[in-house]
Amino acid sequence: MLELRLAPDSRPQQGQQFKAAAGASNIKTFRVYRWDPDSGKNPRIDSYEIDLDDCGPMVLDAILKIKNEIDPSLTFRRSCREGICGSCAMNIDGTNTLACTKPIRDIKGDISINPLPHLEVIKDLVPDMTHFYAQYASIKPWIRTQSVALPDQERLQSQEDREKLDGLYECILCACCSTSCPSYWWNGDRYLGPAILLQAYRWLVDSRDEDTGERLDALDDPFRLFRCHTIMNCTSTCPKGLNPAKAIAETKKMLLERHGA
Amino acid sequence: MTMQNPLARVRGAGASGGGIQHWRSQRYSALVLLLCTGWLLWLGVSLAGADYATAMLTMSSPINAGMAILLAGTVFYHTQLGLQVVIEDYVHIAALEFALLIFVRFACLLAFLTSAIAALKMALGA
Repeated sequence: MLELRLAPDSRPQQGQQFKAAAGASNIKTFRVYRWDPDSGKNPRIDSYEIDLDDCGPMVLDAILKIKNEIDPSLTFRRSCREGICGSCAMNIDGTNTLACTKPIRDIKGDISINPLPHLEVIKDLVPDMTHFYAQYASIKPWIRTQSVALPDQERLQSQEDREKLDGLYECILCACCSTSCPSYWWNGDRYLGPAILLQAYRWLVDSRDEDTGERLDALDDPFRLFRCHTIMNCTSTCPKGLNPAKAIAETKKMLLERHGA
Repeated sequence: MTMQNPLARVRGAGASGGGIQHWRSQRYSALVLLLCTGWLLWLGVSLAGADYATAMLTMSSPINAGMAILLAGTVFYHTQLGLQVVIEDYVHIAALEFALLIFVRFACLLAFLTSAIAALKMALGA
């Protein structure tokens, strides 16, 4: 059944507090989710006071400062620090976003940082993405053709057809959208979620792909696609400004057009 | 514990293929419901202050009786489709989910039959 509360041993408790150095004048408090699987203890929320005059502008800068100067045990993913790799996706101030592109100054008061919701936590801010990546693999996200490619020519695409991929190809698979979706929370085992469905639509509208029918067959399922109830959290939270809800709606339209009224 | 490959878990039993029909039925029944609700509002306004005999006379016209039965059918069909989605969303105990889905279907069917018979009784003046 639907569970409205976390299991008792998953509920975060008050953690340690790390004060800013004496003389710091521009202090911001970061309340960070911590959980060590080896400790056998409940998760905790540690508070770190950071002097913003001695810190970069983004939330990732603050997290890196915590790890480098205060608490090296803090665990999180990060790589490109410019919103391209999607590694540092986490829940910041109640919204899923990328720590590297989220300015600290945009958040009033203390900054709460948690792992992406409703994924199993491996440690601290690192969620287990295994199922998400398996879902991505399940849509076969590569060009699938029946015709034989000419040896001396690429598969050509008109500019108009290429433009249909705009707003889709930019997805970095950070999982911010999928993990913000209540439908994905309750039925993520079978519902593919907005990120994967946006990727599926990216191949459905690719003029070079020749497997549209099979792709639609694989999506025509009450759970895989139709658990989307147009809640729109995905579009609200996407740190790249994309619109997975529209991609899902377009996919439903393609199925309707194929099926007939 | 299972050592099943994550991709095998995702692919599961495959796509059942019935998604678009259910989704389409939800939308179409909502549209019909909108039209029927307009008729119901008109009926309510036109019968405001009327006595019992006038109301029965109005409901005995074939078009009004037909609209009443259509409204009942659409309401309970739409209700059944909506409750099915809610149950599938939130009830994850398989036996309970199946039991609830079957119960909702028969309850909505019974509600429709009851309403339709009531409308027919008015139409036929029984």
